[in-house]
Amino acid sequence: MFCNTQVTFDTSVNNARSECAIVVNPRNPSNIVGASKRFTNPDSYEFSLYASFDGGVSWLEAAPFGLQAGWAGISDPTLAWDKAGNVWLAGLAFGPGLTAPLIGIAMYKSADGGKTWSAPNLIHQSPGDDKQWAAGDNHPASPHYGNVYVAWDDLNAGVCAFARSTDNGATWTGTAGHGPGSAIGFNSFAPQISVAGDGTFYVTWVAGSDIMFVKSTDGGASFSAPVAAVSGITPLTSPPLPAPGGFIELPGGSFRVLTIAACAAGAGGALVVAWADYREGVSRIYYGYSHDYGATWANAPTGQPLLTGGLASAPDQHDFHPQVAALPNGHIGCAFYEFGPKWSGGPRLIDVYLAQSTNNGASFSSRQRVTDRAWDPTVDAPWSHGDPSTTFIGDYFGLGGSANGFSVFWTDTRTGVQEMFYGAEMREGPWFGVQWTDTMPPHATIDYYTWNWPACWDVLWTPMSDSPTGGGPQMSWEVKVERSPYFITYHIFITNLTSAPLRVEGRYAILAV
Amino acid sequence: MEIGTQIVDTMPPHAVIDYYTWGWDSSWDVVWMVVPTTPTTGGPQVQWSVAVELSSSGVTYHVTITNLTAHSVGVEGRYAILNL
Repeated sequence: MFCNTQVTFDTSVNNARSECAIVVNPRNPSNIVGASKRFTNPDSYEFSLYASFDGGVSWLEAAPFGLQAGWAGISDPTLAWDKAGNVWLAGLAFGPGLTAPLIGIAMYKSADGGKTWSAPNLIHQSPGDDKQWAAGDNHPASPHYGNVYVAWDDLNAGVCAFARSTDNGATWTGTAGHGPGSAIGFNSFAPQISVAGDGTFYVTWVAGSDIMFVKSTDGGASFSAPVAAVSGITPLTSPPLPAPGGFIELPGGSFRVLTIAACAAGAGGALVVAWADYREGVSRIYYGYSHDYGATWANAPTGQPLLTGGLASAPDQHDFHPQVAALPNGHIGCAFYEFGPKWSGGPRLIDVYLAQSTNNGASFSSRQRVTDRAWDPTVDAPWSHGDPSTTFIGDYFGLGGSANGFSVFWTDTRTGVQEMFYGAEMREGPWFGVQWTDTMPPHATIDYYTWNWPACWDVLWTPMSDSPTGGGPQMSWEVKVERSPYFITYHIFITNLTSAPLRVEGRYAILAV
Repeated sequence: MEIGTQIVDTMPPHAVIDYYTWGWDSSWDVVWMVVPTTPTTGGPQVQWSVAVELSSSGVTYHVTITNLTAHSVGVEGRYAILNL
């Protein structure tokens, strides 16, 4: 079971949040940083940044960035850590007006775990820049440990563009001898990056009905030639899907969807790419994998379904927006949205699921529901590029991996507002303890309250008398509960039923955390 | 042990609601915990009690939750099956 932590508590329906990313500090897995778009009205947005220092139990939101002169907004947040403990945010700045002209790739730095952020550093300017992705080499054994990589589409040049920093963000370059924006591929859409433990890193993207990839084994100085990992996919396109405002929608949905090739490097030469595919007449997650650094692909040429048989979604559900990440132990997770009626005749809602592979992507043998309730994508949904015929829930969401397991960061409307939620797999106990001891006066009733219990924990209270006697009950209790955004205060009201002083112990059992 | 959330609702001010859930195996040892999902300050928001009913089709748990406040409160009714 996954804990569902509401990260943001925004009462304004104008502050819809979506399209999020999450990264876990590789040196301190209790420090987690998230980023999302935050709309300020149905068709304008900027970023919000979130940080947790207790493993996702509680969160703070960084002060609003504001926008630079001449900017109308910033989009497509993506995050990466360097080896100096800085976390980097890559954003796409764009200008004002109906056409929202693209400006370029802006890098922001936080040196305090995501609490505060620097002014942007515009590392590349092109009116064709779009859909960037960032990743850090966070593997101490890698010869390129600490490098930060960024890739994006330069639509004007028709290339997949690349930049890197090898000095914790002091300078940004491209491939060897080139500045930021050097071309590493062609005809790209929405590149993603993943770094293996030995420093090999991969860039994957969608090119029509192909999933292309390149790799670098020298820290981004050079890349292999682009080759197809998978060919003949059926991306989400119109037709057959509707696109009333020019953006593709799923049947029964009004939010925009697309096919992005998510990737994750596993142990050794393992690499997994996953995408939303419509070949079955319903959107499903398909994937391809290689165990030899991309030299060969086991399920070529068109990939295979992520989940089959009893693990597959029902025929009336659409799976989309896959996100892929790996844990340090090599397990690979693929999170995705499932859209459809959750009961017969019910409204079409979205659940978040996580599928896991323990064999480097050869198969995904488990499927877990992350959301403890489904959410309605029609609630508080802003517009896509100002077009009221198509709404927006983000083109992707966040999945991270660390020694603590998978971290999921998604948009959720269960409160009536598009908010950010965080999920992590719960661990089952029990763990026992005594929170207090006291001697109660005769016939007293006392409210013993104790605060700062993480809201996701399942806690039982079992107070006990420590004054042996005979002849009847000595005490009774009832539990009342109070909630702050992230924590619970328990009020354990104990009544001494006797006419003598009574020693009591406030015992608890934590069933799950 | 198996854990989960069975009840999700928003309770009106001062409401007392019997959330009953049926079909639980009588051999299971089930405990119930209720937490509010609406943040507040100033005091307890909810309390609960559990009553049990056994029929040929299993156990029905009546989790009666009281909203102690003058405001609407979101609640989650969580369970743990201790012997699974």
